[in-house]
Amino acid sequence: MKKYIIAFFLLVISFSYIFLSNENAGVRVFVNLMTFAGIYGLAAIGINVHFGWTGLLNFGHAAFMGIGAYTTVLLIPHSLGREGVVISSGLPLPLAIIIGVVAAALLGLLLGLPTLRLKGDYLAIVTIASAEIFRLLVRDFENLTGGVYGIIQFSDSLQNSRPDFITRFGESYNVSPAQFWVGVLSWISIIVVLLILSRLKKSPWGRALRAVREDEEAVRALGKNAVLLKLQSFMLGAAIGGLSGILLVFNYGTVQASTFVPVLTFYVWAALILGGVGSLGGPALGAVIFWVIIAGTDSISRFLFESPDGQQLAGVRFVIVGLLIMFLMIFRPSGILGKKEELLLDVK
Amino acid sequence: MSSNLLSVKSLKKRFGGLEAVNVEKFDLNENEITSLIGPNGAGKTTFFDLITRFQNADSGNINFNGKNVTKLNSYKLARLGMVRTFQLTRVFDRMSVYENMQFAGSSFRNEGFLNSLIQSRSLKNQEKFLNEKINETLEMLNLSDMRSSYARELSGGQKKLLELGRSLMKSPKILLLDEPLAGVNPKLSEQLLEIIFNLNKNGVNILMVEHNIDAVMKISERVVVMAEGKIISDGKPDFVRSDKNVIEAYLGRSDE
Repeated sequence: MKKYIIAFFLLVISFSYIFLSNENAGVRVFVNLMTFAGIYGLAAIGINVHFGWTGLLNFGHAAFMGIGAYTTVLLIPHSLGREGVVISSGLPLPLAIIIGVVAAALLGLLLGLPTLRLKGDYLAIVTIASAEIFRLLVRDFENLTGGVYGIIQFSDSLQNSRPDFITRFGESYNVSPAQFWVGVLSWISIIVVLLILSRLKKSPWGRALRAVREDEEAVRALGKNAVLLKLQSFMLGAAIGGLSGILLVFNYGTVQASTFVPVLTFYVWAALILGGVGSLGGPALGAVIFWVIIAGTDSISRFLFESPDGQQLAGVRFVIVGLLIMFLMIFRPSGILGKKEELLLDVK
Repeated sequence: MSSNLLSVKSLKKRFGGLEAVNVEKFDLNENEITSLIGPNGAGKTTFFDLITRFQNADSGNINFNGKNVTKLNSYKLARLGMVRTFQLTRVFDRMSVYENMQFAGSSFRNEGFLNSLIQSRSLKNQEKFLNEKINETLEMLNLSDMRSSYARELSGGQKKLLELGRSLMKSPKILLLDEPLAGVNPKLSEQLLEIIFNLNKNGVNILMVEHNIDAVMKISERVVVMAEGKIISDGKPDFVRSDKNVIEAYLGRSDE
């Protein structure tokens, strides 16, 4: 119970800080950070299925996010690259999103089949390398993906479905209605995904994944196919990652290969660790805290430097995120919502 | 075809220059308690690993229950009824004792992704049915009080009991116990031996590796001695105890 009170106060303090430090733009900053938090939170929930539930070290989440995003965007009307080739026909958006999510799961299958027979560390190496291969391929296949110039003008498929009250709210608070709509959708996705996951976590399947996490050899000795369980977990987490990638590019309104650099994966990991590995809602909470820090460091930098430039801002951000994770590891290694008894990051 | 439950022929395994296991012939007859003894490094655990398919043999043939299982996956072999424990206990640390038992007892079909998502009535019934068997087993092992504790909170001996209990949830035909008494206090040892003895009376074949000679001689109907990868003696406890080779290699002269 105590941890929920801590989480509640953390959120109250964070949000008060955001609104107080941005006198005129409080709502806009808040919507911006909550949108990113929703998207990163969803991505972190995917990694949590991998690592928190099954013990799989996935350091290539950006690839799953990327394949989901590119698949969906290429299937709907969009325009491409430097020359602005317009492709005005395409599938309905819901169908494209489903195919994007399935594509991410299939990439999980493809990467998992040869690697999940290996033990933990090898998977980490393979995933991080695959994510980079994916990014470089996307960059170089310019005819298909627009290369470094990327893909633009695909947002309409989503924004056409935006309800009026979202638009009105946006206009009256000086918030981008498009971003607000993506933010709302990302938090709806989080709720739906968590409802499904909470059912799975308590089920025999969830229990079997935990057993794999604890001891694979013992799982085999009890007549269970550990590789199949790992593969299923890998595909489910990848699919959730794919969905978050789709939301991410709709938030930006464009997509380039550079969207899916390795640091994206590590931001998502930071959110997961802050929130609590293994817990259900922890990753989403961790993502909110993470983005409060990102948004909040602007004012701290302004306090430190007279007129901070981009580099100084980024530096302060990294210092603060790093310090926070350090303190967390020392005083509460299970994260904010994690169970101490089920501590996964053993740092004794 | 032999009527043996388990039959092993010319099983070989080398690690580099070391011949870890070289067993010409090893049969297990129905309903016996057989103990495998021998000095450290004799290849007993490797032999266990080979027949349970946790390691691949270089050559040889394994038959279990009339079926050639030489190339079978370890988990499939476990489903056929050959269940093992480990020398260093492998319990699921961050799961409760009850969950450890649940996982062992539930069928892999119930653990299917879709079945778990849909959660039909039959799945729930099976989980309930499991509950009775778990309670019985925990009662027998004196672990009922610990059912909701995390497995890592158990003592070393209790972990051994839990691992045994987990294996029993599979209703094995043959149970391979790797040093079930190691690190267990004398009183609990007595209790464990009694449990093993009763299991065997109820039709579970036991093959165990154990260093506690007194216990081995007391409980076993057959003792097999390994040294340097080979079986050097095989027979009734009294026969093995007086075998010159065994005294030389393992028991030591003071035993005479």
